[in-house]
Amino acid sequence: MIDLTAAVVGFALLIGLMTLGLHVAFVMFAISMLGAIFYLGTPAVMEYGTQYWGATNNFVLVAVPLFVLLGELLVRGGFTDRMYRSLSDWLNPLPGGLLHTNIGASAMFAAVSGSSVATAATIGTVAIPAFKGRNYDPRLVLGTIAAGATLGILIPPSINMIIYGAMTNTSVGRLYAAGVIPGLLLTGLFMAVVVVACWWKPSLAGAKSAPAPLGERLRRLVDLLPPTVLFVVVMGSIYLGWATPTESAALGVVMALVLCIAYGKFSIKMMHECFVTTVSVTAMIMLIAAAAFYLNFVLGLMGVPQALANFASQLGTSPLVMLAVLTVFYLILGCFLDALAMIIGTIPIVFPLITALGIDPVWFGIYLVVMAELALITPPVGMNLYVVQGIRKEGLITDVIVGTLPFLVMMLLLVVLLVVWPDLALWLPRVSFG
Amino acid sequence: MEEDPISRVVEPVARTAAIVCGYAVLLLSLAVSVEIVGRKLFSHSFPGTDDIGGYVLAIIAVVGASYTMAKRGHTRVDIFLVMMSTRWQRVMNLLAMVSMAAFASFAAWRGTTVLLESIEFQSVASNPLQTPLWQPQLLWLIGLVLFALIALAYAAHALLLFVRGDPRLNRYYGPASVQDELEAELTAQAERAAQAEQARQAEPGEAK
Repeated sequence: MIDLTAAVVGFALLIGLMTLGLHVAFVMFAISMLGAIFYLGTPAVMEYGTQYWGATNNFVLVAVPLFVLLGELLVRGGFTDRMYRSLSDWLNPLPGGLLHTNIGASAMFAAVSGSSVATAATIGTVAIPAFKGRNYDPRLVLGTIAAGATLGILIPPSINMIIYGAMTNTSVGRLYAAGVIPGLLLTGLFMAVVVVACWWKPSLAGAKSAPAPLGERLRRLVDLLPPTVLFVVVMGSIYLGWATPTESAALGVVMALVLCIAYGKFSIKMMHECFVTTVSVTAMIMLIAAAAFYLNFVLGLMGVPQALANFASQLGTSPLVMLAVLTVFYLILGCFLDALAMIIGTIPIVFPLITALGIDPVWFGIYLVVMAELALITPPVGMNLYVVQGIRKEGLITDVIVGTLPFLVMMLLLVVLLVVWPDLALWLPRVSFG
Repeated sequence: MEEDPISRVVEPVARTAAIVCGYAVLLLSLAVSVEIVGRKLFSHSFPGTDDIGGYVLAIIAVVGASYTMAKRGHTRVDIFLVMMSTRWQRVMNLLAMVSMAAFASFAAWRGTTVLLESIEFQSVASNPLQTPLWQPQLLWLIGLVLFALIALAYAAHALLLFVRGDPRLNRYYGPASVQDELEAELTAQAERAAQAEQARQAEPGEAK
């Protein structure tokens, strides 16, 4: 049985080398090579090519390029501004008015997109101009956009869930189903923050515009159809068992293409732009993922998962204590690591620990995604903060950071709720898939 | 972001390759969709699309790696790097490029064995199509070898700049900062908005 100190040293080295600015993919490769050379010998080292081919020739992960392409088509499809306007028709009467539209539109876009940064960029470009001259509290405006956009990876589909599922052999369909209720709950919590804040201090909310006539508002509901239909087809085909998550992503791409053509937004040039971004993002993710699969393979042969599992049971900690420790650990990591690199890099060590303690893998996937959401808005490296600040082009980034703080608290509250009622995540996959 | 001389050559070629890969993803989506509809409505299945999907992913992942490299899109954590002195940044940027080249070269070398073994044992995929595995693996290996060559060229150039004490090393081979990523994202966003605007104007019914 392998000595666990070696694993701990290896993990510290992994995080240390990453923070020095070397490529994340190389660092994972280098650490697994060290393990292979010192503990396993030449055959495991030479096996690298086969492992690389096997890791990338993987139908579950095929969903990654498909969802990136789907998202790119939607972003350029041009229905976000109409969707935003129609949502604002109905959410405006709430205390806090237009602020709710930021959250609602983020949640709706999240339901067809698997990325939070794309959600922040898309909703931010539509939303920030909508607040011009309305005297809303700028911090709250920015906070609703930056935090709302993190819903992109919690509400299915989600690229982070696909990668978690592929690395841990957890069903992506179940993970998707498990993300729905926490996603809606978090949307509700975000909106509650706005309601309470604006009720407590009405000056935070700006001037309300007179509602459009009912007939017009009803007519504009059509603008909510494209994302709704896409969501129903992509998720419905999985739910009915007609398609695997990867196949449903392919259906989504074809439908998004049809929508772009129907809305007159399609051109060859636009499609090529989508292609280039898709392939580039996929290559970036897969280079890290392939290295992480090899790390998993090496650690498995070294017996690290069993050693960790034994360690966890000997330690006799309750799952609750472990989760508390992990939450602090991920909050710190999230301050300086990229959200996706953080998930991929920690799974090989953390997953054996939590399964040994009897924590459900599907539940833990949702927990990890919420941690990744937090990483997206914790300074200094929260990507969403920078995206929103970049669209705004004025003032200080501190405004965005302060504005997201109340929403950050809501995310931690969601973690607590998930711990107290695991069924928030696990009920829907259970009734959907048995 | 200042573009280095190697990327100026590599980028247009890698971009074209990425577009070709994009068409493969699109065709795959169409094939899978037809397969689902055929299976559900006409109980007629075209087996093998999932295997082809796996091949497409493996190939686009390595072909795209070169473009991502030229665009400095491979993830690096720069939070502590920006706090270092210029001299240490030079060392870390050189190390990053050299280590990436070593990584890619090793992968290409081991990838060669994968192809050679498939040819030697005449391996076929265990699916109804019985694809000879050397076919997708050859394309995969070509992508992998090109990626390794490009990474080696970057490493050599970085080393040259380092030895000469050329200050451009950090500008060319530093990690894409959050600011760069942001600019890329926002330029793309502006392009999309412009396209959307054009399309809107082209739509006569929407003129009012």
